[in-house]
Amino acid sequence: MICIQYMIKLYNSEKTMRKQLMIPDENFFIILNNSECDIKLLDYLENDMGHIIIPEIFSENIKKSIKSNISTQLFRLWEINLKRYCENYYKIINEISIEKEVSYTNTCQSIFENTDLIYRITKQFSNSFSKNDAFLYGISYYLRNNTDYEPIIISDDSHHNLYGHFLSAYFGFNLIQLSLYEILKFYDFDATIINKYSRYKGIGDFVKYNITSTLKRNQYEPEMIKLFQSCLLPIHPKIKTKEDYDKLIK
Amino acid sequence: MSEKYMNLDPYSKEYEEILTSLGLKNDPFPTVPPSEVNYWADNKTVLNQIKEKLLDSLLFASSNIYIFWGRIGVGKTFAANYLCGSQGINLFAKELPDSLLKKQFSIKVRPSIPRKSGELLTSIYKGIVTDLFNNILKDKELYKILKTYYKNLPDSPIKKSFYEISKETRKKHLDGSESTFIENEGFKYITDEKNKMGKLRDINDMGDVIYNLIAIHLEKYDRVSIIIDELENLSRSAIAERYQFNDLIKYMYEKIEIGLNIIFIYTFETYSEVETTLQPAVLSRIKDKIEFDLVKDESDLIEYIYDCIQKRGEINPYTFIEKEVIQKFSKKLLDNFKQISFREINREMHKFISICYRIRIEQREFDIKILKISNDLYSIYDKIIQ
Repeated sequence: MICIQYMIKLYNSEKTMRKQLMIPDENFFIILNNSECDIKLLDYLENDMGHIIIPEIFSENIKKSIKSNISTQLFRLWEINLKRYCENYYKIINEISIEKEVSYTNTCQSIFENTDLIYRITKQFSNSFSKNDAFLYGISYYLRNNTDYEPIIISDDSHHNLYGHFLSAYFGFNLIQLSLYEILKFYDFDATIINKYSRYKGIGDFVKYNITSTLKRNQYEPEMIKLFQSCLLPIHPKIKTKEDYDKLIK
Repeated sequence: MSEKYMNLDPYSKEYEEILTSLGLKNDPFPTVPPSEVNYWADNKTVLNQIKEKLLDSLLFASSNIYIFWGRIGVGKTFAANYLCGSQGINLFAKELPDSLLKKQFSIKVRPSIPRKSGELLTSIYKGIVTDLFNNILKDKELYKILKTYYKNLPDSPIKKSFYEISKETRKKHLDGSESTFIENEGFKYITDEKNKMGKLRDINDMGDVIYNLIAIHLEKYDRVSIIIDELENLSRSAIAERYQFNDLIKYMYEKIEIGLNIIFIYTFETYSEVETTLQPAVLSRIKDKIEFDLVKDESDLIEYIYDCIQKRGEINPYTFIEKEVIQKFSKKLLDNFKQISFREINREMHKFISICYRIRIEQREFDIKILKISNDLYSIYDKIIQ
């Protein structure tokens, strides 16, 4: 909660310097839809914390997943929003390409290279970390390195929030990682999130957030404590270099 | 002010009794705009502006978009009801030659307050479609056109739905009511209800349905006006819904090139707030905007009170209230408020009439024939409220 308040403050005070961006994963939208939460939440989020961007492949997957669960009228609104978020993504890629005087394909290629690299690392931590998951961090890391944008990843997947978060803390892939739960709580949105979560295997996510939990505790507790001691807010001002990756892989 | 002189509830029996005993047929100062309005008591400047702007729509056949905006209670909904009523059609009857006067048909849509995203646009769309469709059912000539209209349409679910509707016969029931076609699959399709024929795919489908219904109307009328009230709700809706609304309007406007007037009514204090709800594509298509202002002039206020009593109360105002009293009361109101909305005037008039009535009762001088809010009574009232 404090994180979000801090981020909004940062966004409002330094709008002209580094611009925040939100990169949610597919599950964020799917769970948001399943939680019967009004899509106005996305507008609030955009207004307070920056534009939402998603690549088209995500948008198509999200549409397929949510279509059967909602009314036609609501689906039409979702389509418009998703289209807008995709446009935001391509607009940024285009901006970068023009600024760097490279082709559009070249920029996309650089993002894919980043994604491959990140995927090689994350695979060592968790097999459930897919290339699509790594794509989020690939985009985020590329934007942080090459533009004024400060991406924020929003996800509820355990592997994102555990391994993705750790790696981000070390390499500075993204500014901060948020979960839907935190956002819903912050905006005080009425959503039956816990019940809806039980549909997914990811119900364990809540347990994993809890530091006193015994579930795989010995695996992450020391790291978690270190993280909390070093900085209360997981913001990563320093961006690590490619050499750091290589060291880690070795 | 003592409690016994507190104003009465305008819906209470006691208030009704007062109106009857004063010889008034209707409440001359309604706190909510009456659904059927056959007189114009509001700001005459606004009426002239409306006339001026709407004159264009009589001279030129092209479709137009207008915006009525202003604060709460300044008479926007009243104006919309007036334009939709029988008098609205004859707005120019006395001033223009018959050749210029055209047959008009107006509908007013008041969207329900949305609880969830998507409901606002749905309620606007359903409102427009249902009103247009119901008018077709009521009118034999239009109904006849509907029966054959679908044949010229290209193959599409919309054609199928119109065919389904045309198959059904309009029946008059024993209780006098007529068929509403609510259960008809074609009707369910065009109103985006659950049906066996499928779903409206997108905004373009919605626009096509409205276009076809208006096309049927334009076979009989020269101009169709769609008035959408309370559009300020758009500012509270999701961005995607605002996009959809704008897309629908843009599509309708482009498709129906002639014979359509769209009037948006917004309760906002500034025009910039209106602009936040509309996309540049729609904003650039707006023909004119009319601001409904607060009453600032004493003469306007006096004229308003006089017109309300005469036209809505249906009595000679001076048999009910002395001319001097209206002047004094108006002056006092403007001294207190500086500028005042019509709703506030109505509320103050309610309070004023109620208190005067009670004073008279207390004085045991109540006689319908001689009851009048006289100068003396006003002096007592003035002392009480001070």
